[in-house]
Amino acid sequence: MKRERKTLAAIFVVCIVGITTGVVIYTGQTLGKSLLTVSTTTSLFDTGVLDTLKTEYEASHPDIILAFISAGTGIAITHAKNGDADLILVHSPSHEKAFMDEGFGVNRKILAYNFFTIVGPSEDPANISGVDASTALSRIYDYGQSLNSSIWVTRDDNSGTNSKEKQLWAAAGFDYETIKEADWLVSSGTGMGATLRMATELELYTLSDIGTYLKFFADGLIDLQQLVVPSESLLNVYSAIAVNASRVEGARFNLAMDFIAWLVDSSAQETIGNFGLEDYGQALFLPAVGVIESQTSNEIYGWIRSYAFFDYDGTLYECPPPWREGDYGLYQS
Amino acid sequence: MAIIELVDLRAGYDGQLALKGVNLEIDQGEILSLIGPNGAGKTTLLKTIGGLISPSSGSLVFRDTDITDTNREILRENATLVFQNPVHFGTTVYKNVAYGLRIRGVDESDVDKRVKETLELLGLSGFESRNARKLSGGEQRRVSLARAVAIDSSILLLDEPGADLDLESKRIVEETLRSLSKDRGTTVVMATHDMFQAKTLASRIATVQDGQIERIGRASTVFRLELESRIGDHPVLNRFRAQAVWIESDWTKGGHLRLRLEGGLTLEATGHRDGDVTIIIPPEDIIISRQAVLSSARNSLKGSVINIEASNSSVLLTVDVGIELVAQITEDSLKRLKIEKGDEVFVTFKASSVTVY
Amino acid sequence: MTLASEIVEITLRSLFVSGFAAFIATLIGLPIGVLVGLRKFRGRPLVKGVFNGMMAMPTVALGLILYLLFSQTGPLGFLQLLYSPYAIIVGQAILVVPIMVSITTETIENVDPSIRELALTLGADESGARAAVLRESIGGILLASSASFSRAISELGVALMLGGNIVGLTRILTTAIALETARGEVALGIGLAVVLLVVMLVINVSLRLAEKRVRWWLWQ
Repeated sequence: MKRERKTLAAIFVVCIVGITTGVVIYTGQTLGKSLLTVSTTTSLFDTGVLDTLKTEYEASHPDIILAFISAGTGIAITHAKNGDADLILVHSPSHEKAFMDEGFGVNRKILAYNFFTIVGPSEDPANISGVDASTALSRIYDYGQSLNSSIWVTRDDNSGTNSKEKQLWAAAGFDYETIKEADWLVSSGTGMGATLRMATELELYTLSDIGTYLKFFADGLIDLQQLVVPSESLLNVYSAIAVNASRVEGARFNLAMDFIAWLVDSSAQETIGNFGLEDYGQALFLPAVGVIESQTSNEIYGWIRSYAFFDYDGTLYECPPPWREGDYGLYQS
Repeated sequence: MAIIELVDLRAGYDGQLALKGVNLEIDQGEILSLIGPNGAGKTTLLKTIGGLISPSSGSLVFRDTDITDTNREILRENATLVFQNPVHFGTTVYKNVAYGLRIRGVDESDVDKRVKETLELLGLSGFESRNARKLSGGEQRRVSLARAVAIDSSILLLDEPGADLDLESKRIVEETLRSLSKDRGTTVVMATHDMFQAKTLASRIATVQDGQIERIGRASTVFRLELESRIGDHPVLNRFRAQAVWIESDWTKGGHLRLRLEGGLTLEATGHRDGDVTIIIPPEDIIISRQAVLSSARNSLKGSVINIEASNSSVLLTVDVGIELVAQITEDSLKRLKIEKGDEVFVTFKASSVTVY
Repeated sequence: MTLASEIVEITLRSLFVSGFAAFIATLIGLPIGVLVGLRKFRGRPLVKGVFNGMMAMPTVALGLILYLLFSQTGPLGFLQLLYSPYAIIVGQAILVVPIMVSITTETIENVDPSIRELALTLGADESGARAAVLRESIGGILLASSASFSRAISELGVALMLGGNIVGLTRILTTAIALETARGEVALGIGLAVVLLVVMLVINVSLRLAEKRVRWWLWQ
């Protein structure tokens, strides 16, 4: 009888010990360390580049824990507005501008860029290989109208990629909301990976960010080809914005600025530029800091400038002066 | 002495009365059998006596104390019900049987002793560590009984103790009940369908019909009446009409009955009735003698043998004492008394042998 | 960190987080379930219905509601729980309490009513009779605990919304599976799912094996 009561007590004790161990380990992991919460979009997070950056940053900053929270662009920004992040890493200039306009973000810094791509079956029935995005979409539209069966898949989820798609259709002279009703267009309503796989299965064209495409292609999960040539309209620019501590209570502004400064530094830029080279034979991201600093009048700088810079008093700025906080030597003009 | 007395007791479940005015006295140490059809209220009656159901009206007296409204837990402490369907705690036979003792805070060493004794009594030695729920039907019933016996309650209530029992288990159960009643003075109340079991085990039988006690009396008499009502036109022996008069008397506290039969014959019986009644005198309760005997029995009559009829192992004598009484004696007695047709004999029977209804 | 050690770490964290959640849910849900199962009171069907219905709570919705509560600007933001394992633990515990309550109640109700009467007629008082009924329910109560644990460890919405899937801090098996699937690491995703299933199978089978013994133990 006593032995049995003891056994029950032992089960209880095991539970308590297990729980306590967990608590102690977690406390040990976080004790004396500061948590820097970075809210980011899934398409960026899912490439894995942030894990590489985290490893390097934490190695040189042992008292910091970098916590990336990934969600769709809209939710990622909401997190920051709610004070649940110290920094955002996103790729949607219109969202970013609104975020800063409302006073939530300061010290925006463009870190990297790459190009969206239109991918499709290797047979390329709409014949868009080697043309620019607008021409490609026009051909797809014509081909779709004549075919009356599915030819294009859209994510239709208000993601960064989906926003880009809308801009592209508009640039090619079509209204997204109208063509969404067409029989040749399919809505996937899901993430990039799942949409790419759907495109493979159904032999459809779609717009993809380069990172997800390369990753899935290299892993043999999809059988789609990049068909269009990179152009200004396909440009994708990634920036970091610190959460404004005077607007959002509890935001760890100094930690956020340390991290942004580190990201801007040449070694982190190199890491970003090298990410994926080995695995995919192509870089997923191209460092942007050098391009902007050199202010060379090359084509890319111009594209970034017109696409991702913000207008203030008639001048284009990476981060307009009123939205700069403190002096971290981030901007030349 | 009555250990439990029920007066105009009503009880039931969910507002539906299963007992509709039960009057019943149960004597210390007797074996009382309740017979009656399904749904008559036998189980409810047992549960009420066992303190598992609260009466909705009437009164309940335990050992001369009215416990209708207060302290009915005393019934649960003193009466133990053995359910119709064997229910066991999901553990060993030993722990099942020890349960009641441990609840009562009995010393572990005494628990062990009592459990082992009880198991032996019920032929369950060696079953201690078996799972009670995985035994055969008969063994499970014996475990149920053992659980109650181990506590040594003063009242043992059994719901259909004989149902679906193998012969061996039946013998053990019946022997146990007899010895409990005889040796320990345990009062046993059992509900049963089995009239023959009722007759062999019980000293009294009560028939329960539609929530009431229909008739109650000596086992043999009620058995016979029941048999008659079931067989229909089969004649019941020694049944007569009579006029009953209740007489206060000193030889029985509750008074007694004087019965006047056709032809002016007078008999004495126990009970409390007045007016026209029917009486039955069980043939096996009648003593036949060559000479008048001085005995405690209140009824002694002289008559002549008008018929001798042998059945299997016994003999039925019809004696004309003014009425024709049938007596059952053994063949051996017939030979010993050398009785022949036309002989003068004396018939003797106790007042309590006469069932009046 | 090697892949294997990372999987081990994530698995252990999952066990810790969901085990803690199930433990809390048991501490809260067991007494409620026992009460609802044993006592007859007015409005009992309503209470049961509410708990049964709450079992259908979508994890993402619960995650969202709790996110709004735990968010820095939310009413419970001062607790600083968001993006910590404790947020997931609280969320999962809330998620599984209805399961704990419902199964416990159902089990107790399904115990043969004669068990109660048996205990009473053998001289037990009301609390003794309740104890006897509870002992008979031990299998179901264990099931309630293990089902709560299973539900907690297999849910994604709460862990993702409240934990944030932070490497080394709040990444657990389901959030890792979701991430690897999104990243196209299908093999790793399936591997992690297998780990989750194997762990749950081992735990549940041992619980079932232990059940009889526990029931035996409970009989003094």
